Amino acid sequence: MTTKLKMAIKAIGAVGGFGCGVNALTTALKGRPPAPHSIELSTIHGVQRVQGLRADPSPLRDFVPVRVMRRMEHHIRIALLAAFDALGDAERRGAGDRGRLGIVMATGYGATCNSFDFQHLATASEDFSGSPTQFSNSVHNAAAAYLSIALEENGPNHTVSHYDLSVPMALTVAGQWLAEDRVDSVLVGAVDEFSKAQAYTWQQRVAKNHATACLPAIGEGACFLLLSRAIDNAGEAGAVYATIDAVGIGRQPAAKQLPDLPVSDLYLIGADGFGGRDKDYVAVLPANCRAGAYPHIYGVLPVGMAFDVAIAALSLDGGQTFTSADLPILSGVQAAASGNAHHQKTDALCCLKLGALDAYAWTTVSAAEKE
Amino acid sequence: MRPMRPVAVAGMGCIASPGGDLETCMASLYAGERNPVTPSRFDASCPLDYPVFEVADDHLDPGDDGRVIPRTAALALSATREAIKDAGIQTSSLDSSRMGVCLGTNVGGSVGNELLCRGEPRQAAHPSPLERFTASNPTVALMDAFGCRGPFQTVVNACSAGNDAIGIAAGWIAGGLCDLVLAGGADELYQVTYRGFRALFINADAPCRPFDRRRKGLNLGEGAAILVLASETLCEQAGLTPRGYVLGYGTAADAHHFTHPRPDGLGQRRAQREAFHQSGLTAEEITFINAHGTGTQGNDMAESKVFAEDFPGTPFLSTKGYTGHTLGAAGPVEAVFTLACLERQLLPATAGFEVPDPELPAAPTVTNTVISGGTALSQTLAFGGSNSVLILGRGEGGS
Repeated sequence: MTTKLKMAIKAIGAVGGFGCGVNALTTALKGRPPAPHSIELSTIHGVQRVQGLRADPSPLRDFVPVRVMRRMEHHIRIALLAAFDALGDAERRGAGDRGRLGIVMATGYGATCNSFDFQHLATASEDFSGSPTQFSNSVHNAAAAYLSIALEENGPNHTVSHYDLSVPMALTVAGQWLAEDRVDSVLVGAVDEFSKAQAYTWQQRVAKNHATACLPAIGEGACFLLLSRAIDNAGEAGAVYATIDAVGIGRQPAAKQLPDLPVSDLYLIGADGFGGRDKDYVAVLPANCRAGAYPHIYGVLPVGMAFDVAIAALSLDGGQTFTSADLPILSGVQAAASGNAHHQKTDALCCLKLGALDAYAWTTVSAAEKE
Repeated sequence: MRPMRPVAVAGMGCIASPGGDLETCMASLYAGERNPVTPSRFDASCPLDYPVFEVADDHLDPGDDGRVIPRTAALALSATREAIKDAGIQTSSLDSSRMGVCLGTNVGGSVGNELLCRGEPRQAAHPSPLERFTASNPTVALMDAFGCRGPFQTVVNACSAGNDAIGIAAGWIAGGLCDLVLAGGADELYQVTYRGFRALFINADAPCRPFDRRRKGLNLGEGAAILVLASETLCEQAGLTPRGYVLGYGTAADAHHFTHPRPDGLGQRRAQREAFHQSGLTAEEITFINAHGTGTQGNDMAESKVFAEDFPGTPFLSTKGYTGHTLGAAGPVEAVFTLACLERQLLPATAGFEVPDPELPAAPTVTNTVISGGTALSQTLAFGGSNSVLILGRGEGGS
């Protein structure tokens, strides 16, 4: 299923192990990726150490009173920081007039980490029901709700949680709202926090394979895009990073070429050296194509496609491509390297994620039309 | 807001505390029956001091191959089998790439993760977060069971998730993306939610009393409801007679407080306005309103104020006294009840409502009430301040 969208990316906000903001993300992409931290994890097999890329939400205090921040769980803070970063980016780029705004969040894990902390506390004693604030924070739409309150935005507010395909689904909702003239712009965000469950699985895999070299760290972070109808931004190419042209979502049981996968100069793939479908990427990509993967920047997390779309937009806006992570599966294709995008004919990029249960999604991003 | 052509509801299915199918549920509602019970499936450490509305196990679809199906997915499957049978459609004869699934849920994707966190033996069956998620996601369960390969989405907008799923799905049909969408919601009773509502002191320790002066809060429930939305082309080709229509959908945020609805109803009103713009209807054309009507102080106050000021004299009801609050399923359960009421031109009494609250400017139905008209509004108000409104129209099919 292909949804044609034509949405202008007017601003980007990003928070992750690389830091906060477009500049931090670009610096990491240009050859200074973040160094993973060693994190202790309590498991049913005792304390284990895993590699993680954690995000620091403390700059949020510049936007939200500390007393309000105290009531927010970690993933909500990350999300809000990235959202404010995107809105700041919009102001800097002269795209601050957002009109009727909608908010769409994508999250793979949602608030489950907090849910289970709440559950454990609540079950510790028969008389203890748990903290009402912690419970409120454990609802999957908590980040989007806090954002609407912080921004005092009464527009539509939507959260999608469909594991590793949450981001393309969120983009289609944004496109639908814009097409219906429900809103003038949409703040589409993605957030996932460091997952103890995912880290535990990572640790088990490391222990089983006795090798960590090819496994990127478990990540966390948030990435927001301020989107509007491309037609409304015609003639304002300087204020637009790039255009999201279409999203495709479907299921393909066999590891063969996807029927609707667009031709692209460069594929940004959601391989992370971790998922069970990594090996399928080479099979579904066109022969002799170029491909890159960037989990060394943002880590392993379900909403990685949001970062890939941002990276694609930065590539197109800045006329440069970025060096891919060195993943074994990329040995079957021409791995993306740092360079001048125009020399490499890169004016349309495709972000591809092969997801759970034979599902897949792609998002095409093209250069903003110049006058 | 662009107008939307009516989207046909070709079939409906419902499973909730009143019964295992829509017909049984409606008969139970009109009979004024309700069956709150002490929770029976929570672990031993959980306090059991608040009644809930459970679905009887023998109403659940056992599945085809003997696999243990997560309860939320099983609820969704039961409602969907009824809805597809009701529509009279053979899904295997349709283009699977144009069949979508859009569900609202709160618990669905989380339950599998809890198994690992609690160290239960079943974790061994689903060792990674990815596998645990997919095993407990009702959207995936429907895609697999009915061979849907078109668009799909899992909406988690708390208590408005199901209404939003229907609204998004209607947009897929109106936008030409799909010929058919299985739209609705499902949620099982879950002790995290139960404990959480307990912590917030919004559970009632007795059967709930929406809009009543003595109301003490809500009762949780479980269930699922599915609407088979169909394109005009499919209706014509397959000779389907719609039981109803989705005429408009609106959604807006309160931007006020995480757990309390905005007292002035600003978000509600904006969502209603959007739905009216999309449907081309006005408030005067609404025959009745199916309120969110949880029985909490704040919800009932905010809704009654808006109803009194913007829909003076329009009858409204809450059905949560029959089903409990089924969270992600609430919107769809109430949407199919709304369409069933339009078919029968009869509203059930609002169970639990007996004594009007002088603080509330409007009161719901007291007895089964005959209506005359073809359009209704069904709304949900959610944690986080989301308000979601559907305007539904009577169809030509059904009983």
